[in-house]
Amino acid sequence: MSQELHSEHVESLVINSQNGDADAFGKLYDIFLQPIYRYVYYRAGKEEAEDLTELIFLKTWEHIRKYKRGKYSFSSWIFRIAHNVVVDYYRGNKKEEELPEELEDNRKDNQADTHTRRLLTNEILTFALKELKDQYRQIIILKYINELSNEEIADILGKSQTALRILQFRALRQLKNILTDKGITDSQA
Amino acid sequence: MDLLEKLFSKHINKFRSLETKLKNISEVRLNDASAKELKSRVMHAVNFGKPVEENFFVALTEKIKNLASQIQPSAYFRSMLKEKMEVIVESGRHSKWASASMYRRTFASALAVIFVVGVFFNFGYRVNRAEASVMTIIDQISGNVTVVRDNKILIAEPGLLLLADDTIKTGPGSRAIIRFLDQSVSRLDENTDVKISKLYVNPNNKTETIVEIIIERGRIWSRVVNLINDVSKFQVKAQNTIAVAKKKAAFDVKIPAGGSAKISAIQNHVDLVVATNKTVVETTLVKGFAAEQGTIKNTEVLEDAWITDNLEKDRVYIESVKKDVQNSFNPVHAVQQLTNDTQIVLTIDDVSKQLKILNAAKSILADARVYLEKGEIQKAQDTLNYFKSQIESVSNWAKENQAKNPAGAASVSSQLQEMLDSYQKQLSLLLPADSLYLIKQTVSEARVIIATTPNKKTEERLSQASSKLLEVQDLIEQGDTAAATRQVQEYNKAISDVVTDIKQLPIDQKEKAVTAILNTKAEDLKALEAASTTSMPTMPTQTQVTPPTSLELQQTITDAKTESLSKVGEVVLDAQMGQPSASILKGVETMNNIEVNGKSVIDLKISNDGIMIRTEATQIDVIQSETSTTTTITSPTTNTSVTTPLKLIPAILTTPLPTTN
Repeated sequence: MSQELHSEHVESLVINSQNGDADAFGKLYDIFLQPIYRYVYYRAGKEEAEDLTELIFLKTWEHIRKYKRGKYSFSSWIFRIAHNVVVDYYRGNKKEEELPEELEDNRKDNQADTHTRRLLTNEILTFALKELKDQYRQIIILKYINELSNEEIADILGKSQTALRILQFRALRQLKNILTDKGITDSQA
Repeated sequence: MDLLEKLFSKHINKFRSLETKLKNISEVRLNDASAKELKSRVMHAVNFGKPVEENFFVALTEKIKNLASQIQPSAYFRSMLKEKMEVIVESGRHSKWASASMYRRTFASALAVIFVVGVFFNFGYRVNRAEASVMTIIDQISGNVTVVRDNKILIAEPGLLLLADDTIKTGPGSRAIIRFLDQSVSRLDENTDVKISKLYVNPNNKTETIVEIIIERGRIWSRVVNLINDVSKFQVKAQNTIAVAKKKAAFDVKIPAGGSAKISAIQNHVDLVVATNKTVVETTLVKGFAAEQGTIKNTEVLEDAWITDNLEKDRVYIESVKKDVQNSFNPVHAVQQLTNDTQIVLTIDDVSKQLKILNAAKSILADARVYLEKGEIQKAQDTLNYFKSQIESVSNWAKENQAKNPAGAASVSSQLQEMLDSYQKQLSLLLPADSLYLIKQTVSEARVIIATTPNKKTEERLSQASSKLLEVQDLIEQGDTAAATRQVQEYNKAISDVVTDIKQLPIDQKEKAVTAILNTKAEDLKALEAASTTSMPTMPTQTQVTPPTSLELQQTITDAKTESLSKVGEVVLDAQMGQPSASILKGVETMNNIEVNGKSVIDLKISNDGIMIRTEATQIDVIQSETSTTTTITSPTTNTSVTTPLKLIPAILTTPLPTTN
């Protein structure tokens, strides 16, 4: 993740924002907009991304005085808000039941029997991400797209780093299985 | 490293390449205009302490509005929803934000009603080809067609998304159709290899597009339907030749086995750049001419079955695009109108309000469509005038708030421009006989209204004039020479009006306007040449008589060339005030460099007090003295000349007149 998100400059903007400095908050907005938007985009979809991003920043402003530096960095804190907003959104738009975490995915590798061999393009990868369980998708997005550290991700999700590593492994495994179903073999992935 | 770490490292290595791919996934970004608009809304809430729930309330109503535009509930549900919304509007005027949760519940129940109605009545949302589709796809195939991507071979299927650097290959007896992101189509003949070298869409304005393809062997037909701005182009490269279409064109490119590329202009015109060992030649090919091995010749294209077959397929395709355009103007019900008006009233934030007015303006165009289709022209005109007034109001807000709220004003201006650009692109295929042509004219007028400077207004008016020439060529192809003649006269009048207005401008603005007119005129000359070639009556046989309308059209085009050039001459002279500026000289050079079918079509020279414009048929001399400006037109072929103080009489060269000087 960009150094900028963890810099002292961010922390001083936060302090100024807590003192009611709207300009300082505007600068925080400029720094965090694209990472937050990206996170929401991949979790909730393009159509909702703008509205939810707006809501995240409004909630950040509303609760900024509650943030205390020390345990979590500000970036962990704002991503935590983002996570909660997306969860609320899902609760209001529940479309399908999520499989329980313990359920093994027994699909075999290399089942592609289509006569069209496909390459792992960004488009296919994006589609595959959408088919992941939400929790797995979240980990993939935070780790590889938002490039947060394991420590930050653990803070955001409220899990231990050990549990996080296991989830990360399962997420990648499920993603790989999805890609295999789409005709992407090991050599192409 | 602890045990868990070791186990994890061992297993995670299996996914190393997948991890790399994930890290390199295309970066998603919120575009600058949307980011600015979003910031404006957020900062308004920050500065004015507006509660979070109220913003979400507005966002929720936006969702309902968007949903409502896609379905049409029955009368019962409409009245129930209207009743609920009227209650909310009324109570919303008096309540505090603490009631927002009640509003959300009520809206949520309304939303549920709409969903139920949608399920029962199965209101589908028709994918509209005329709307912004920024994908390039394989549209149809027959036989063996493959796509080579990153050195891998894919079997082509209809609907396959194509990317830059893809190569499409057709086998023996096989064919393919590609539909591009700018609505152009290309049809590949058998044994053809075509590489897509560039696909570009401006993310902030989807009407700005660039498509570049390379034909490596075989034959490809291309129909460019509706590019509207100066940056957009459709380009085909074949060996050492590049053919570029900038607005509309149909052209054929062929590379026979072991042979040289041949480019044929079938409709409108294409610009060619040919690179040889010694030089680079630039010219324009008009309809009926082909370039091969550096030579340009008239070509009997209509006898080729490939050409006639593709012309017919183009006709069908263009009709389907026009039909999609008509269907895209969907009338809205009272619920939608109420929602629009409600939201505008309830919106406190100025920027959001302007954007909602813009959104509501789309509904107004849809109403106009209904009136036009019913033949209620006056009502349609009144509705379109209202549309223009709404556009003007939004545009004025943006101009007035440039200093106070630059981000908001920029966002509103950008979305207004994109909306009108998108409409212009969609409507560009319409001709005067089409029922929605009045909407096309209204959108053009709206573009002039929103122009922020006199120079931009001039450019828009010139663009409108140029679009009439494109209509002329379409009308000629349809055989409607009477309508084509009228459009040429409209073009002439439009240029004349622009020139008159340019002369009234302050001196510091005149130069820019004159440069704009010189640049536009260069492209207009090509279009006039293309129209002239298209309208040229064939040599009559003993039993065939050339129709009088074709002769009249031909003469009108000739007169339009002469008159518009003389007007340009006058305005250049008027602007330069004795000493031509660098930008005007550059414009003159652009004009002089125009070649059509390998021949120079104009020679333009300016001096301190005069300008001479020579074409194949005429010489125009505009001389400025202290007291007046005189224009003399000489026809070398008939050895006649006419001098007028400023204003030219149309069709004066049809019959020889005695010299008046």
